[in-house]
Amino acid sequence: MLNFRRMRKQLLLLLAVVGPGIITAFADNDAGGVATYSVAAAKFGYGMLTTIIPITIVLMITQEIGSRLAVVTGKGLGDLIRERFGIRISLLIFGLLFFVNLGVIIQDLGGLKDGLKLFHLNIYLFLPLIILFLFFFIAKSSYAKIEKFFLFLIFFYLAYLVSAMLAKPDWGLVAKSVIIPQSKISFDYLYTSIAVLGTTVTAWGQFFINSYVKDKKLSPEKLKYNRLEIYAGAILTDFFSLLMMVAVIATIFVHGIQINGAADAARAIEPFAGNLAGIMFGAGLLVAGFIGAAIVPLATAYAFSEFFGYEGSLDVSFNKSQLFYGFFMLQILLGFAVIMIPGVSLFKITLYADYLNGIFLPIIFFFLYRFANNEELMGEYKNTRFQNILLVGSGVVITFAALIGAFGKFFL
Amino acid sequence: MLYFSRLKGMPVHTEGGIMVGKLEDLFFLASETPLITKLVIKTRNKHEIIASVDELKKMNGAITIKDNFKQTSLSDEDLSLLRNLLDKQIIDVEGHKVVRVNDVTIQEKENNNPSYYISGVDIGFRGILRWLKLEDAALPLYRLTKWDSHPHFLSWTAVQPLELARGNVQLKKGLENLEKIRPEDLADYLEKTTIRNVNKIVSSLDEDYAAEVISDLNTSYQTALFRRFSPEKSAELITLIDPDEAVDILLTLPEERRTDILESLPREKSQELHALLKLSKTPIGELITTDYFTIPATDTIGKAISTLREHTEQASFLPYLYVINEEKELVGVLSVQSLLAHDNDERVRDVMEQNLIVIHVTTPRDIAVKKMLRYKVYALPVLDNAQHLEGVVRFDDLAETVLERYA
Repeated sequence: MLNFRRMRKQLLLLLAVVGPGIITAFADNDAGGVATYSVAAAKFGYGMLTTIIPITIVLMITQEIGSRLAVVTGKGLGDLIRERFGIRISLLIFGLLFFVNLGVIIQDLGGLKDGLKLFHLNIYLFLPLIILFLFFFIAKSSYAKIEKFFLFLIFFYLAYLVSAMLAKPDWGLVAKSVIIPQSKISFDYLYTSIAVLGTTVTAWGQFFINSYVKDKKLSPEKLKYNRLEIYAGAILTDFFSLLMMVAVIATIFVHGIQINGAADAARAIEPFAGNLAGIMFGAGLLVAGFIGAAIVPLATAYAFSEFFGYEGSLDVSFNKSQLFYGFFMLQILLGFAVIMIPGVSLFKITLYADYLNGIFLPIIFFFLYRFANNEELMGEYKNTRFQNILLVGSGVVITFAALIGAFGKFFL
Repeated sequence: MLYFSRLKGMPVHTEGGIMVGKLEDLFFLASETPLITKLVIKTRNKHEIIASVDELKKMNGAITIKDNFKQTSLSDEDLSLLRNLLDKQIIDVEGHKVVRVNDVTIQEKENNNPSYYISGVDIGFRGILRWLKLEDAALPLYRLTKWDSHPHFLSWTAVQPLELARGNVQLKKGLENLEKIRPEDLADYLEKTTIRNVNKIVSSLDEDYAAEVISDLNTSYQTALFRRFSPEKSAELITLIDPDEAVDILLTLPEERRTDILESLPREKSQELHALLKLSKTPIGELITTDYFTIPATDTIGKAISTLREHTEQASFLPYLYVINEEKELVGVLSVQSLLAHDNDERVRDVMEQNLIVIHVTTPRDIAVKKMLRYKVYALPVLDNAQHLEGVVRFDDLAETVLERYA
């Protein structure tokens, strides 16, 4: 009885911190993520599955450091960069972030557009409606309500489980490929791996988890639970990424079909795995696009208010935080304008945006490293040596892979 | 008026025209008029020289110092403009918000010797443009669009820096603007800074004010603070905080810590909190406060008024006086308003309201709210089975929990 009560208490404590880790991690699998994973899986097949474990580890440690920073210092990454590195660096980083994030927003709105088309819904009617809904929802609801809504949306990712099951993959080979590389390492493979990493471990995600945790106002005493939640989020997210790739590999890759995006994938899955598998894949894309289109601009808006000192919080009313919400809207409208240009190649934008994200990451890691090792800021919650090795190690590996991949892609 | 953005990086020459280096930083004293005390010059080989402001001949237009200037070192009171103020968050005391310092303005005092002080901060976009040397270029645009053509300055008296500490130096001065802020608001602002900073600031505040601020912080900050305070200090603060809030804080602490604090309290207070802690597991228990006022039924109105006057200072909110008989049972209630409406020689028992609206510790919150709204009362007495008062639930505490549900 006593034990049960203790467990219940622990569970309640864990539930109280649920949100930031899981939501950020799942938003990392936004429409751009679905597209990148699909294209990569269609191209390299089982070989791409080997990337999952390293990506999960990098996601786990970086998100944990970001969130720990926010809990202990009560500041977001933007706050810290501005306070420690001054206005010029802040402008530069914010400029990069804005640019990279805009790419991601375009991916997500593009994903939404493709998803709507897939279900034969009129994009000129539904896309503006979705955007309007997003805006009013974010501007008018409190933090807690928004969080609950996102947590609810995450259930829709189960669609990928259905898709993957229906695709009837060789599960033994899947398990083997996750651990043992099945593909030759070429420049293209490296470039694609960086894109896949860049779509999962994102620069905006690093800013977002920070601001979002800060907005949640957890105390350092809850760090233990917060860490668990973040690890669980990362593992769960990448489990779904794996399923996504498996669904594509068992159908599209096996039959040697070329695809150019997530909607293509949904269409191409149908003949091999049936209607339902395609529909589920498409539904997953719609939800992913929606989550991404909501969260990525939010991440930029948070960063903007941190860097330049305007009030920005989901708990502040619209009138008090006009710049925060205005900035949120501006990005969505810009993204909307881009995807409505006739003949624009979303496929190219997708891979570029992910690649840019990938090379932006080591810069973010540098700041994470500096702040998480700062005695004055972190005190007893400083990075451990092991965490530093992982962080620096992944920074170095990403930089090299990105440079080599780009070199191969553009010059050979 | 000088801008720090224009001063930083400006070459520093001696009167004889020898270049010493470039201005890197200014140090100032945190006080009503924050005087600049020292300047930091970065030499060509990246070496930092600190010179007293007395060595300065001129800062306007070009920076000139005496030929045979002496170097000095930092003292504990010196705060760095670069590290403590620029780019940091400050409280805009009059505008009630937390803003970021984009630039700092420095004023020259008309004296024989030049002396300089920080007159205010720029929190506007133009402060950012100034650092990029783009302010002049942007001016025509500002005029054209008529948008935001005034720089956003806040004078030093209207701001309160949040991070006025260098290393582990405990600051006493420089916080005088804080107490102009309502404690509820200050609590909000403090939640935007680190727990260490909150600790520093709260510790330097007047105790009564600090207690109010602490009781308005969110629970995680409260817990974190009380873990850092010594049991004696915690106990002292706990006595100053409303009992229902105090219980909330105590409940979030580990059991050992809680016992330590309770043991450091005066006996009476400790008993009172013990009783409330026991009640806290009931539906309404957390909201019960012992901050209420009882009078014997046999008193005269005049006596009641004078006892009220004596004790009103210590109580946080008392719209009602609860009337008890010799067995300490609740027999009536008297609002402050009706107290004033009667003559001094009338007896309390003759004028009190005997038709009581009460609740018990088992009463759900919904019912309590409905009772308050239906009978238009702002506090409900909580009775035990023997008709004794256990405490009082106030409308504001209850309303907060109702609101949370709709958030």
